[in-house]
Amino acid sequence: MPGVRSAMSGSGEAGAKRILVCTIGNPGRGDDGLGWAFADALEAQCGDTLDIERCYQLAPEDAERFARREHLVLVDATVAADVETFRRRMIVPDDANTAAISSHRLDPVAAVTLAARLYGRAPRTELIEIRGYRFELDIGLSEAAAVNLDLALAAAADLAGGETAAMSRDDAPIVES
Amino acid sequence: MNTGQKIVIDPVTRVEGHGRITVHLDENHHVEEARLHIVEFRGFEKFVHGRPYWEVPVLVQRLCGICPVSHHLAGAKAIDEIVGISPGSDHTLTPTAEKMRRLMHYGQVFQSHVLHFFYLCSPDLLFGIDGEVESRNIVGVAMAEPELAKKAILMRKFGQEIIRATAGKKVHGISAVPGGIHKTLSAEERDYFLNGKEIPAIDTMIDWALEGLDFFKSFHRDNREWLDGYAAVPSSHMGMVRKDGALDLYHGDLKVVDAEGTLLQTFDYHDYLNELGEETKSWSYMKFPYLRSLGRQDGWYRVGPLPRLNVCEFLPSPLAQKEFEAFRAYTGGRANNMSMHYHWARLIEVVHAAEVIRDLLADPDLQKDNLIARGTAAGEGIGVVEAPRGTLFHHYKVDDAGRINFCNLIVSTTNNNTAMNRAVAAAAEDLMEGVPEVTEAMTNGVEVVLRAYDPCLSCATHAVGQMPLRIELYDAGGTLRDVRVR
Repeated sequence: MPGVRSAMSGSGEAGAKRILVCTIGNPGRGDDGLGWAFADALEAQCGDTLDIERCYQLAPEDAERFARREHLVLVDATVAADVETFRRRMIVPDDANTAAISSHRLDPVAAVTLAARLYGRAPRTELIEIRGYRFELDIGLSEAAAVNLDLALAAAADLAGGETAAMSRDDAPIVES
Repeated sequence: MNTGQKIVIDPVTRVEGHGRITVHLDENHHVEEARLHIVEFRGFEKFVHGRPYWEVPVLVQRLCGICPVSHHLAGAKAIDEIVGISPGSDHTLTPTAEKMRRLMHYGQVFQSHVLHFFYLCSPDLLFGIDGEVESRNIVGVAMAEPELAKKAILMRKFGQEIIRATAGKKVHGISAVPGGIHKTLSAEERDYFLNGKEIPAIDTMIDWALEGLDFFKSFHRDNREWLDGYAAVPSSHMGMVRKDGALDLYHGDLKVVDAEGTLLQTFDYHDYLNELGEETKSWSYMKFPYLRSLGRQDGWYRVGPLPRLNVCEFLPSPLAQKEFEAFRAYTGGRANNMSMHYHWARLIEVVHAAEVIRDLLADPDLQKDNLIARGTAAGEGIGVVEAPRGTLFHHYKVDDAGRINFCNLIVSTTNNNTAMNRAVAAAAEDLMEGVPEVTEAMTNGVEVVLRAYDPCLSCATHAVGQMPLRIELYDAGGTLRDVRVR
């Protein structure tokens, strides 16, 4: 069974900042660019205090990197009907989630699950999902998605200071096998 | 009353892209027909019309996020000819340019083969085709064989880092340009792959490649009958060889042998239109290539790792050569037609690719700065490479302004179209013949043999979105009888 450690500091990677923000999506497919747009805005505000990355999708190799981090924030577009504008939540490894894995693409929970199971630890991970509506071949966000992006950014102001609100919470675990 | 059934596997999972398999059963549950359908249209050959020739190497790699290097390099080789650079002519690539491209290419083959075998296929071997669906993925592998999974992840990372260092980016690189390359490998970048400080060194990659091969050989010893017999189909085989008969994934002639291994023909790939025809069928957007010398009915052939090891005479790297000799000895020197042995051949190529990468990293030409060659412009260019999945053709013509006005692509998976359909039919007959109810394990079993070919359906046509598996059972009247979704 995984153990829980409630507070750690340091990144585990030389020269790395305390928080890694990994944004997921494809700006060539309309609102799927929400993740990268989030990265662009965050980088303009506080690029010096965060490690910010952009990727098209998560892959198993990312689990190896994530396992060496303490704090991870994943940002992605979503079409989930129960997400009205955006949703920010903690995610933890979940073995029951792995059936959803297809090919070499991992969803966020599968990525931290793989980190925990393979490397013995998963970072304290937050997932920010931003509601998108239009995912056809196109560059640029829909108006509604752009509004949701602004709301998500406003609610992520803690990141600008190099902190996450969840860092000190007891229910924000780092999971160790 | 006809009570036959139509079984649909849509989409196929753990392959690159989107496809659908249908199996038609008659009223006695005998397999009447099984087909792999490619149901998405792509049209890249038209997209590039009107674009300037120098855009091609970057533009065409957008065909695929899985093997963009292969399209980047096949496109670059074709465009080289349009700027007057052609292997064997008076105007060739500089040594630095060709070796950088080769390093990129073998890095791509290394990471692609590793991804395919360990991420996509090893779950079927570890857990069986009837294993729990929840376990048949890389996380399942991580649970069952954590050391194997860790090595596989770092091997893929190594290959991707080679691509990043040579192409500029892990996906959709930009370094191959008409007549050369615009980037060298710095000493610092070279040492990154040699010193083992930040990622395991190339020598470790070779060791792990051999371990991966041992994993397969051990499985083969324990499951010989299944691996040898499952969906085996006799066929012709095509692949690229050097003038001396050695396997060469970047440049050479195309050699074809029959199902026994007897030489059918060797030809310069510039003659491909004379040697190969392409047939279309109403139920698939993927064409069906064939050897004109044998005709549409009998001229189908296979490409990829298995055919490559069937057509070449030797592998120009010592550890892989030793494994190649054992591979060839297994069939007494004749062609190997066992579909599941694609995996064996693929893992031998992983060893070979690692050895080639090691040798190239030691080559000082990669730090030299003579990057671009120029010749006399021509109006047409053909580029062919052996992509991870098989022979890849790019053919372009340009107008007087240098704009593309003709494009023909035959991608690796398209070459295997008939073979994959035959293999799917063979698997369906093995698993579903006379069976009253089709189970999830049976449908996965059909997919298993398709995966052996490592099809890239996104290259062949198109791939967007999620890839859940949906299986629908219809009676002869078209009434939906049962649905399975995973």
